[in-house]
Amino acid sequence: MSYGLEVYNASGTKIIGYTDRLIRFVTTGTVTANSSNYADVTVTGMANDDTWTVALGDIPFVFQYNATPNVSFAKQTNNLRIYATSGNTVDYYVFRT
Amino acid sequence: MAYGLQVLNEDGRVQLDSTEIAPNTFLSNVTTTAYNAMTYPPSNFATGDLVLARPANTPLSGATYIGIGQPINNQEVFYGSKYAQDAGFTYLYANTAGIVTALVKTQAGNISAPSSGEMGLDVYSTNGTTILFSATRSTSVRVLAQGTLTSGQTFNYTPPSSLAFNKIYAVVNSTMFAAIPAVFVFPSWSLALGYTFYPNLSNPYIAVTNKTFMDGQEVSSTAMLPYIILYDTN
Repeated sequence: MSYGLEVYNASGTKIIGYTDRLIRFVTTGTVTANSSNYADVTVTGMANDDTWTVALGDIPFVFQYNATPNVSFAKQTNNLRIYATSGNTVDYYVFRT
Repeated sequence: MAYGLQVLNEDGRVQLDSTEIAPNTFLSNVTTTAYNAMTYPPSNFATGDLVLARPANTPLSGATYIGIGQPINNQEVFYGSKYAQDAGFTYLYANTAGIVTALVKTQAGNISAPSSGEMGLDVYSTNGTTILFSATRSTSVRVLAQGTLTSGQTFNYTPPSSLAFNKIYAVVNSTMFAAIPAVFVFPSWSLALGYTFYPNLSNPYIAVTNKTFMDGQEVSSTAMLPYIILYDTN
């Protein structure tokens, strides 16, 4: 290779190559949506681009006449905004890739 | 950066960076999970872990749904769990073949210091103690696909034939499969926010869907489904 990093394990298997997209941990937590149906999480350096990856967890699920799911998020400058019904809690995971 | 180590990949994405507070992750707890043991999350899950799953090595024919199922009596389960069937939810999908689960954890705080005389590369953060990257113990995973689906969207990922299909995992933390029968005047609901693996096809692929149905008709929602498909390189 002309540049970059290759890592092989003890068996000689290449486990990281210079074309690989890796996943790196930034932060995690749990928020509760406010009366305006969102919660903000300060994430230093966050931007709305695909090097920032968000996963959600513990999606609120309610057996009711309207079971439409409604959790979403927006990557903002230095901020992650999570939208959910007021009072619902949502786990979030932030990674860089 | 003025000092330290930074490695970019061919596309210019950061693979490791000793000055950034974003330690690399590693794959752990790869476990074959039988039909009767598909509770969620898997054993050894810790806050912040990504939960991975894929079909069993000998999957059911046809499609295998991979994701979190609706809670059953306040118990979280993977979709297809025997737990749901035993609780009387016999109209739900049953994955009698089981699944394989794994966890992706941050290396920081989860990777031990190197033993005396050990060879290889370890990268520490600026505090001098937190390991950000260990080449010898990294058991890294590679991102094959990632993105976010809005309501009604589907994404199909067909891996290159050079990859072993049974080393491809889906991150399930954000998923939800559910089915609620109609009751009196209330309509039925079906949620398919997750992954469908087709491992037995000549060109196996994975479909990611964000779909909601009311009385069998697709309806829109405000839900987003962030998806990540990973490859176990180890």
